[in-house]
Amino acid sequence: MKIKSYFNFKNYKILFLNLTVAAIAILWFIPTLALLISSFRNQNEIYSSGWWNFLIDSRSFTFDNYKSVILHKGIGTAFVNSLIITGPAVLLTVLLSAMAAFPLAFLKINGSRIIILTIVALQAVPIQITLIPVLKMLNSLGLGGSFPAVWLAHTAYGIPFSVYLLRNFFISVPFSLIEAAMIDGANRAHIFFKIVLPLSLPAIASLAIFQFLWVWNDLLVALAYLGGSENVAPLTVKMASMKGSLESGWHIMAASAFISMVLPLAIFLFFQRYFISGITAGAVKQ
Amino acid sequence: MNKNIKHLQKGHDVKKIEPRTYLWLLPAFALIFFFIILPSVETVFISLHKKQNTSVKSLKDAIIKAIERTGGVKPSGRSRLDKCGQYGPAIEEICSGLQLDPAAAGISGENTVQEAAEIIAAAAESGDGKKSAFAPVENYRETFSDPQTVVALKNNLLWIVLFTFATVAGGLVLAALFETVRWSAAARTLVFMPMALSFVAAGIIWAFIFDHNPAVGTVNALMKSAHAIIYGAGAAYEAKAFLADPQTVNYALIIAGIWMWTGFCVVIFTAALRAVPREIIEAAVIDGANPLQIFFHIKMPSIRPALMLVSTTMLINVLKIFDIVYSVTGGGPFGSSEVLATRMYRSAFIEGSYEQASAIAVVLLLATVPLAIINCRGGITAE
Amino acid sequence: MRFLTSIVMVLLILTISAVPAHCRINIIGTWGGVELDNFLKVCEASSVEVSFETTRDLDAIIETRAGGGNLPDAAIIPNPSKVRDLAKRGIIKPLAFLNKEEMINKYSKKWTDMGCFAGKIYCVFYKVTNKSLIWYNPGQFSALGLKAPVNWNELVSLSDKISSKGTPAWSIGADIGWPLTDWIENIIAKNYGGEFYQSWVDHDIAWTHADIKNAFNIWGQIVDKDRNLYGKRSGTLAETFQKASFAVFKQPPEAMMYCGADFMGGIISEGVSGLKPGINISFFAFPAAAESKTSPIVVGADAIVLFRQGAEAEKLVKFLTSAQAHKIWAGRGGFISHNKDVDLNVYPDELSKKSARMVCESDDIVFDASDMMPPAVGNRGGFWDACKRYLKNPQDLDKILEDMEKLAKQHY
Repeated sequence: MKIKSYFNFKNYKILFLNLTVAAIAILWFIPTLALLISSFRNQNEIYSSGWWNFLIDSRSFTFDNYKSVILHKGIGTAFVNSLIITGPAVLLTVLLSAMAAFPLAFLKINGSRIIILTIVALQAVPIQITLIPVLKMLNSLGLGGSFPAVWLAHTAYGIPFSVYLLRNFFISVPFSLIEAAMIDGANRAHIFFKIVLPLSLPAIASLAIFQFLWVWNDLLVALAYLGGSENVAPLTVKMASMKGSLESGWHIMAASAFISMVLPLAIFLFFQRYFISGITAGAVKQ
Repeated sequence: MNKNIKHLQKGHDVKKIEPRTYLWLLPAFALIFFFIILPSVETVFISLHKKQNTSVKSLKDAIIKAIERTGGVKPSGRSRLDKCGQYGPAIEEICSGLQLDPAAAGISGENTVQEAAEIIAAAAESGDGKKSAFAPVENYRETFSDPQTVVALKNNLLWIVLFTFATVAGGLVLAALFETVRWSAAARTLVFMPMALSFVAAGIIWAFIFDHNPAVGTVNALMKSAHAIIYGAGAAYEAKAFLADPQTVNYALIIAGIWMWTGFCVVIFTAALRAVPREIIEAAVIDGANPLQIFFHIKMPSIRPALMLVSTTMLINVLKIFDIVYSVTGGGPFGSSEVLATRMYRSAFIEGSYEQASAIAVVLLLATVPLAIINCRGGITAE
Repeated sequence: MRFLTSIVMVLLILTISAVPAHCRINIIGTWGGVELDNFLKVCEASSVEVSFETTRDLDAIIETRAGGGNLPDAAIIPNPSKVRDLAKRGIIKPLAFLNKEEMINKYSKKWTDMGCFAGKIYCVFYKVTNKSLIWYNPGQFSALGLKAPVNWNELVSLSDKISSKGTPAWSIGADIGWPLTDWIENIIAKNYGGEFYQSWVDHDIAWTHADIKNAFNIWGQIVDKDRNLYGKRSGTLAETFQKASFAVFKQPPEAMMYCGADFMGGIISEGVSGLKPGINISFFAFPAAAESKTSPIVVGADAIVLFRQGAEAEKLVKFLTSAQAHKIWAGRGGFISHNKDVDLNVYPDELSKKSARMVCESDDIVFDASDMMPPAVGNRGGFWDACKRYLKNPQDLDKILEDMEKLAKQHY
């Protein structure tokens, strides 16, 4: 159907749309391209001539910036630490938020309005202001400086947005589907895992992507709750230590930006395919 | 027949609510209770109190004044370095005012006036001396009469208007537009990419783009070429320092913010657009609807929850916008690009006024209440 | 359910495996890159195991973790004002194991007093910065028949002479503002002496004092002329201090002099290739005021403080006060020592040696004022911006100083 309607367009329309999209995509990509090119240039070139000169004269191409980042001592540990932090934090966020959004979207509960109101308002709480009280609590629980502390923190900070996002997506799942399952005698867990989650895959995929990015790129929560000592420091903390305190270090920062971007981007590309599933993929016809 | 059905129905006929339902909410709420709600309550509490600050400088001045008054030796110009043994009565007077025992605090005659002031200040700050008094408006008044906070407030308003509109409208248009080409995944990836970059990297990128030197800065290079084309190659071009000029810095930052966040809107809108049941669209196509009609009459109504979601998220996000400002300009030049969140950060961690920072945080929180209420209503009707 | 159980299992395993080892001491600071490598080498020599956390938001992280109660063992802090603040609030511990007399002998009374609060030593300075330098290209200077000035008036006429020939005399990067404060600090110290400087730092004299105003006007003799500045006023205000310094050493040079601390040497040689110390990169001392006999130099220094006392931390701090610890880093470059027992021959290059000699031989040093004042007064929004505002519009001087005085009254 999609393909068919695509060909229903007049040719010039297709051309026009393609060109427009291409123009926008290129415009959006230029800043990233500037950084990407700079990551392959020497420091003194970056500071003295614009990145576009590289397109004309690329003799100064160098891998040195990447080499110095990749060969940096402890970068492997930092990468693993980032994974250890991000993986569970994302899983927990998605699971707990979906569980909370489920009754908010489908079940009748007291005070659901107040709960939604709270969830929306809580998104505005600046993380910086929660740091000290949370840290006190974590220390009294003996969790200060441990991975569970950051998992819980990232999950908690992600929940208001995630519950809100998932609930708004869940309510567009046709209620008749759930009703039908109920009549077949399915329990709630079954409905949640077998109907609501699969039908909301696009939303869950986008949530997973965002949560992954935010946790992966986080510096503040890691430094405050985990500390930056080598055995626990994630990639962001490690990369911040690669340049001297007073150097601008653009060349190193550019290369490290792309190295740390590889995984989030791969996650994005991987999850993007779930955008086409969701309701349309369901075999159920109403 | 099945008790579950009743509770699953959103209709008004169901009256009994099963307590077990709340178990689904429990883990998430337990977490946000400890990590967000409690800290927020504490923040409100802090913002309503005023902590006593003991300044070494004012203690020193007070000691020197007391020396003059108690008729001690007339202090010399460098009296701060005088041994305070000779000024016993003056020191005692200051200490008794603060309910401190000079000897217990550790002041000896060998200490200089400066040191004595420092010892008294340290003693007053520790333990019982660290009192905070209830002052419900003090922090708010001080914070929002500070010209820098006023600038931050104005900038936040500018951000709210421009950033929210551009990201939400732009995101929707791009998401819909991308669906019309075959390589939508690739286009979406390019628009999404800025989100995957760290803020440090984004800071560097925009420093490159907006650099005042036309040899390095992209925008200035483009403008210089345009200038040369319009006025001839010889005409002198006056480079613009976008990030160093209070007139332009906010717009430059907002552009950077839009660049980073539009990808977010595109992704959510795409997910929503893709979730529109295909059958309905097919039916409309058969009825002869054109793509624009389908978009406005079929897709738009069914993505209303997503529209509400994205607008709300962007509004909240822009209320507490921090990273992009912090990493590109740090609030400069002259505090002209400061926003509420960066102002709060400076208050708390640089100026050492946690109370004023709390006041800003509370205002941020209150600003979302209308939004939350709208959502509550919108959420219920979006069925 | 099996899915959930397996997640819980994985989390548990990770938790157990993540329990950190507590046998080493944790230090937090802003050092990174080569300076961090060098510092870790020094720690190795002390046989204390050190784990270093680098952060660009030192103040915020210290405040947060102090409030939350999980501070590391120690910190390297670049501004004494923060040290005093932390000492006053009892967050850092006095270094009671150090003998004051001994410290005075090894360093000087002035350096020791600077690390004291309420009569007790709270920090040990390690890694000094000489901020009374002006960088230039000696090859370029001799080719043009110019020579380094010995007093302020000569500097002013030298600037005019250079600029009148077309190349701006100065490149200044003022986007954040602190490099500008070095100018004012030097001018105040050299014109009005160390004692006046200290009362200015302590806010015992007002910002509106005639001599402070005069110091800005003296600076104006150079910066109040657009042709003296590479990129003029507007470009100067938009430029970073790092990029500004490169302009002097490029071929052909875009400016002839750059006022900046000794650490600029490392930054410049990273950013401009092919520089040889003494041949085409060097510095001369920030010149004395014409009529003044003494010429105090402005220094900055990083300081180590302890949040928690312990045998290992004590061992490290003691080691850092020793000449040996200073020699190790000094020998690796990018480090100036103020320890009297460190021989000038340990420095690997002429420029470090020259800068170290200035610091050691000067009997009159003053500490960077912007780092000594309360941060709200001395840093962004305060002194940094005051200098920028003056550079932007010297006519505003009275208003600028009034604003500074207001700010100081609030924060001292």
